[in-house]
Amino acid sequence: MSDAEDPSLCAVAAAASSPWAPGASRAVDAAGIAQLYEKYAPAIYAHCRRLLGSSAAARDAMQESFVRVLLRNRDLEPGDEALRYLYRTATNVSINVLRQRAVRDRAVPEIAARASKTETAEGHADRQFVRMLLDRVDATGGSIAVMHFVDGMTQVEIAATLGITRRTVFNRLKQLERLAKALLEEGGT
Amino acid sequence: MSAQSDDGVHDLGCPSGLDLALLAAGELDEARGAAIGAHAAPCRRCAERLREIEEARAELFGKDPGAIAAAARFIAAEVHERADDAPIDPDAHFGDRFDH
Repeated sequence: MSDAEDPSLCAVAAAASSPWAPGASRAVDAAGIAQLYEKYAPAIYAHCRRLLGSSAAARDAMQESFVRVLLRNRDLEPGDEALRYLYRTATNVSINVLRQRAVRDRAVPEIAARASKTETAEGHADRQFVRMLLDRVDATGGSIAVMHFVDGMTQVEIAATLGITRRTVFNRLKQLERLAKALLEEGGT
Repeated sequence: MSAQSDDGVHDLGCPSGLDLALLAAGELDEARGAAIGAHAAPCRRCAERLREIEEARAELFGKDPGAIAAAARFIAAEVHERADDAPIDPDAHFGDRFDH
């Protein structure tokens, strides 16, 4: 029996209303959540860990992503749209964590120094690059930078994922390229 | 399938991380899955990404047969707990929204 069929999960279903589902007071379907989690948690966790470089932070970000998506849509069914939605949300949650880390690191440099010693080398360059950019761009720019430079998505894919036009993505990428070039030159001097 | 080069910036010719996640979750149709799988097998970058997903699967589910149910209960409880909070847009960054 898979976890998704586990009757004990049905017992924890809790009635709750959601502002995203006006007038509805529906159970939180733990069996349905188990099905989504079993299918998609590994990819979402791996994505968060690549961005954040820490297993503990990645686990928190993954769980937060599931919660946010389910608060918005309790009836989320497994399928490629569900994974795209979770993936986009996990990117945003991870970007928030990176921004908060940047603020913390500026405030308490000793913590930053200690944290950098425990980071794995794997993905380190990706994270460093993204953190440099995140310090200097807005939310949209941050998402586009992660999706394009770290995740390898095309402009068309980014536009579809974020619900913006390809022209917007193109323009923002050009700005990001100029910024990245300037940062590299800054670092090289 | 990806990645390539509608912009001349990203020129790896590799599928995106999302494509690989869809492949690992079995959410791609047969033709697209086969094409991405054929690329990924000999590609060091893509094979590494797929290996990370399999490692994540082992880490999350490998040792504890009740791990999925426990995680689902935790998430369900959080959703229940926060149902009456001000809604968080999953796309939000510190409360702001995309500025397109």
